[in-house]
Amino acid sequence: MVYRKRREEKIEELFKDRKVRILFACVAVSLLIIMWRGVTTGLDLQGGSTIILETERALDLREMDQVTRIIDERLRGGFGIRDVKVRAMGDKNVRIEIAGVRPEEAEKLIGRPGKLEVMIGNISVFTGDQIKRVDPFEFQASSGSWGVPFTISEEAALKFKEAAIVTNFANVYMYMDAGTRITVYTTTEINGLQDFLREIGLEAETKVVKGNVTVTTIELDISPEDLGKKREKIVEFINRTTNITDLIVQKTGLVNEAPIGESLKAELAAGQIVKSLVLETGSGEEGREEARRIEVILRSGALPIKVEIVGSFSVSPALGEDFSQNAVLAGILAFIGVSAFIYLRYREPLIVLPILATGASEVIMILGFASLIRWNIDLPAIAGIIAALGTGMDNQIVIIDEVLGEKGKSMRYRIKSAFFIIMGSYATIVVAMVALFFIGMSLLKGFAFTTIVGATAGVFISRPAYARIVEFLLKKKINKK
Amino acid sequence: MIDITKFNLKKLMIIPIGILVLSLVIVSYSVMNNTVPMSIDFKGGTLITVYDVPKDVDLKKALEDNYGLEVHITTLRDFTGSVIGESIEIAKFLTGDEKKDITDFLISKGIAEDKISVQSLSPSVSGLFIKTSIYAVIGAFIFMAIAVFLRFKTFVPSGAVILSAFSDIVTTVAVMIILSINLSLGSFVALLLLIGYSVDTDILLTTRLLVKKEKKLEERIKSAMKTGLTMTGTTLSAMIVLYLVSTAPLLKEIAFVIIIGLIVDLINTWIQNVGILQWYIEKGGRRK
Repeated sequence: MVYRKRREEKIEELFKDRKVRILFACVAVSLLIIMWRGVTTGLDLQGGSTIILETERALDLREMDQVTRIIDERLRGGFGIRDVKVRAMGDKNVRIEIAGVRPEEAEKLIGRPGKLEVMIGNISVFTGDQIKRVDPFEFQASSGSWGVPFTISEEAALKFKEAAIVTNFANVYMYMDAGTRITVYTTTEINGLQDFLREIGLEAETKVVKGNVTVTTIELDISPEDLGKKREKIVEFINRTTNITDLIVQKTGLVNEAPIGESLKAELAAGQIVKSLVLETGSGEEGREEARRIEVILRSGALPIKVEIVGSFSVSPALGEDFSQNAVLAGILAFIGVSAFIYLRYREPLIVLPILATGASEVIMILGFASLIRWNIDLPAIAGIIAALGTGMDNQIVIIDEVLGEKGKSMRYRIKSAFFIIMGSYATIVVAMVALFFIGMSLLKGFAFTTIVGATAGVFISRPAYARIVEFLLKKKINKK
Repeated sequence: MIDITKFNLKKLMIIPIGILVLSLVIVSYSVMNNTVPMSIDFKGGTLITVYDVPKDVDLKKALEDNYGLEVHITTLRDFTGSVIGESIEIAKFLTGDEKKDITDFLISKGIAEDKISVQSLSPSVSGLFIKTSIYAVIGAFIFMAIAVFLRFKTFVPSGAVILSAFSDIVTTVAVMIILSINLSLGSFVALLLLIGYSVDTDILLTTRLLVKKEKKLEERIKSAMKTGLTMTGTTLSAMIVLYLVSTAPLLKEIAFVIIIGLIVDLINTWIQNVGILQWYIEKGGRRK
């Protein structure tokens, strides 16, 4: 037995502690980041498709870069501005993630070369097959801008001149895989439109957007020229079933718009036929990136190597939503389950509550960090959060048991001895996850990453504070024993 | 709680060692005969998951009759036991058009388009997946072993921790083979998690037994066990809830494998590892 003078610690002292303050600050900052930037979820939670391609042979870094860029460009052009991610997976595989598109549609698009169409004003001038040669993008010393030189056929050059003059040098528009979007504003809903479109032989996606009036958007996979008479039929059908207040036909797939330069204007005006053109994209890093993109477009998005689709995975937005809600529910219930277990073991709310609070603080810090660096939270990342939480709980139990169990030892000694165990388990989990991060493909990276972030936040931020809080709360209880 | 110190742990060690040997036999036999149950992540093929299927529809029969495909169907249930969907496994890797065909067919059977999730992988890419996953587990294991060794700096105790983690993995895989649970990316994630949880309790045990020597060995074992069982208990309760509640197949797989692994780990930590350490300490191999 040891007699000691009991020193009552006041709660204010606890909140003045540096470790406790750091924890509160980190949680507050994380919450602010989350509120400000939000947490983005992965495709498996928001709906979308993942496609895996395999190239005919192994590629070097430069070739792989080219392939991923071309695919990226094609998908962006073909589907409009959607969330597209294209990444190399080793030297033979490419992983594509697209939000909100079914894999069949994306597969179809990648499977065939792109259809490039160039227009001046509203006159179609030439298509991709009229481009005879595309040179690699380069810096144009004369103008100080990046640019892509290319050569078009005699016929295309002639049309280019004529169209430029007829339109009084309107801008040049480039379309990739052009389609048509018809937006219909009506006062009532249109029934049976999808069936009607199928009847007249059109593949179309119809979307109903509701505002004050009903808006139906019809996206067609054909060019406005090919639409021709069918357009009248569609208008007629819609007129029959509802009353149109407005109808807008737009061409989709615009990838570039640029004016004709002054010197070229002069030459064309003088009646010259120009076959060799340069599309200049501006200076600096931005101009360089744009030039790279234009080169891909001018090559009609043709891949330099044969690719094959070897895998695909799709989750609809509705299912993704279900999964997210379910994951949150499962997380909350698991939390309750753990609390119940810890309560049964210690029968002391003073022990249970800090454990739960610490666990919650770790989840907030992981999400805050993910939000800060724009890391997507997908299902593997959720598994990582569970892993980090599990180890976190284990560590806190070690702290409590050391604090309660080591009778007669100073509080510092007890906590130091708990941290000896905690650091050991931290070191092992981190090295294991670092190994996984570097070996594992993109699939398991989210898991490894969140586990490392969570475990690190736990060991260096929340657990020292937790130990301090436990020390404060349990001092009386222990001293009584 | 059972007082393990009353048993002769050195004799009891025959149990975990027997289990490990048996597991090694089961795993190597299955690997050699190619009978390890694998999900399409690893063997290729197509997996269609549908939710909210109308009651009177027999998808298996419908798909087999219409497409002549060999179809394997598993019913998905939530924790109340009511059916939430079906997972349809097709051994063949389907192309885009074939998938669209089947999706359209399922829609015509009254399943909503947005309740269908299709996953397909060709054997070439699933081969890549399995290779990478195995490398990842081996890599993680080696690094873990180095970290453990650096922590304790003595051969026998570190070896015991590493052996316990190794037994956990091998035995868990063996149990999965016996219960014909598919090996998938999810179960590899679970095995990696298991390495972490397994090492957690072992490090606690080793530290309590070797570093602190004020109390009697039996006392130390008992106190370590109390803490260790609480740790395993919290993880187990979280995983059981996760298994019962979650509908996402990935999380369910992970939870189930960890539940098996934690139970296996109880034997490996509290009989095998305690046995080894007891023998080591009695032989005088304590830290100064």
